[in-house]
Amino acid sequence: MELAIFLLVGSVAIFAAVMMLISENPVHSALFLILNFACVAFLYLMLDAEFLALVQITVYAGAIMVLFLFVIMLLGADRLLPKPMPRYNWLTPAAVGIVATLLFVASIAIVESQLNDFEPHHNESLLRVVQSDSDFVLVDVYLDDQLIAEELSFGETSPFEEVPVGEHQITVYQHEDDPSTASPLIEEVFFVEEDNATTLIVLPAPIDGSYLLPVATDLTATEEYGTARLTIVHAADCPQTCIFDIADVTDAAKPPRLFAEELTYGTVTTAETLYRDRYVDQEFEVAAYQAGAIASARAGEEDTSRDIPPLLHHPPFEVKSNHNILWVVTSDTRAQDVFRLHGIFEDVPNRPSFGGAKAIGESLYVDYMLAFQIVGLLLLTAMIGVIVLTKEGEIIPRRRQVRRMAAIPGAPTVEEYLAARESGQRLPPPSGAKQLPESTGD
Amino acid sequence: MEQPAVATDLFVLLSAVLFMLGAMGVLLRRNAILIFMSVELMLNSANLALVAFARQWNSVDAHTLVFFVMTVAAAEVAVGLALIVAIYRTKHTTDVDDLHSLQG
Repeated sequence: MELAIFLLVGSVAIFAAVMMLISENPVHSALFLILNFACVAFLYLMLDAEFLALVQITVYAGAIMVLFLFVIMLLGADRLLPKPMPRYNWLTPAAVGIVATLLFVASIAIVESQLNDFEPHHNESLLRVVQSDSDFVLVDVYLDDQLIAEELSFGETSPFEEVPVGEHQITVYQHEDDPSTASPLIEEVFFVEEDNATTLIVLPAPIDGSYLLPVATDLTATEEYGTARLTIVHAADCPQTCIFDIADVTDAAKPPRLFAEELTYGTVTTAETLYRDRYVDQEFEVAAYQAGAIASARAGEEDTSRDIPPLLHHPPFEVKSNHNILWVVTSDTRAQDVFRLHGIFEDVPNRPSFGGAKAIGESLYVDYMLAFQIVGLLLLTAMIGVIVLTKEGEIIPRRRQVRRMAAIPGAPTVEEYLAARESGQRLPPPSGAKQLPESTGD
Repeated sequence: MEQPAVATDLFVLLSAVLFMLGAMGVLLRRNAILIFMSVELMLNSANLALVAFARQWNSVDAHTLVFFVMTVAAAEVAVGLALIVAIYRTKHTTDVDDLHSLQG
């Protein structure tokens, strides 16, 4: 299906290009070129380049072609018809020959090069650490010998760090311990896969100590606009084995909507999609219940599930489009002998979707800022150039060359000459006048 | 990674065809405005190839480059058309064969 659409649009594009070439009237040529641009914009859409498709329509088919049509009309379309006899007769077959040869060579190169077998480029692998063990006050996390998170207190999350692909040793130290001498709190070997984002959760072990729980974090753009992903991790080492049900409690009037049941210690829910526009004020509330509590409340004659107190309730949070939300349910009182649940909430934006305005904006403003500035300057220069070129050229008359002669020493001034003439005397004419004494040659 | 429905080389082939048509236009048409249109066609076909490769490599850098090409094309068209208008004022033609005062 997609192939058929491609063939159709592609042939329309070629047809439009050929018609642009052979149209006698430049206006028709311009209109066919607009058709060609529209086809190319459609192909951009097929190639996941939505932003460029829109820019193609507005800038190319819109602005540039209007400029072309404007100039054609300004100069008079009829007068631009080609002359019947082209000056160089040999040019047509020569051009067709050269172009056909080039096209042939290019096609062979494209077909033979097996473009489709190239491996796609991979994004960097990302890693972050969530400190969810209340035994530790402040920790530093090292990847091999490189510090990736410093001074993490309980409940804190380190930002994502780019890490190389491969097997790494991850060690967690008490803050300000020297990794060369002190013994680590946790020491684990972890394999970083390519094109991946991972959250490492410092998980309190049920009896003593702690370990790292890797949670694959999907940072690719959400399929639908206005949706976010919610993942919940059970990291509470309850005194008795405790099992949770997780429910959506946004609407207080309705019974809680369960979306993850029987969550045991150390497990991770599958990502739940949150639809931003489905919640009042785009705010979402989530709560953890004792497993089975809601089901048994519903089983009775009257649904009393609304009145069950949740074990842990997170205050309403705004669902942002294309975000990744992580909620780690842990306990914050491990050192004391009281058990209390605590939630660690982390909300990060996903990667922008490929080809969208956000991705291009990021690329422009982060990676290609200098080039962007230079192109802006170029546009400004072009604008000034156009104004200068098309400025209605008032014909500036050439200055008449009046060469002022140097004053001849001893020659009378104009006033003296006029005064002398009035009184009947004869004086040589003043300097600058027509009759000048002939040069004596020296 | 699953293969896309339309392979990259088809897009690149189409782009080559459009480029050659543009090149033919530059060589064959004698009207300066049409030559400019053909240059636009060539720039566009290059953009198409860039976008096709961007999908292949899953990298947005080529999109940025296309964005720059479009900007430069806009600047080039504006200056070029201004030149044509300026030449038309003095020579009363846009036929490139008649513009040979720089031939020496």
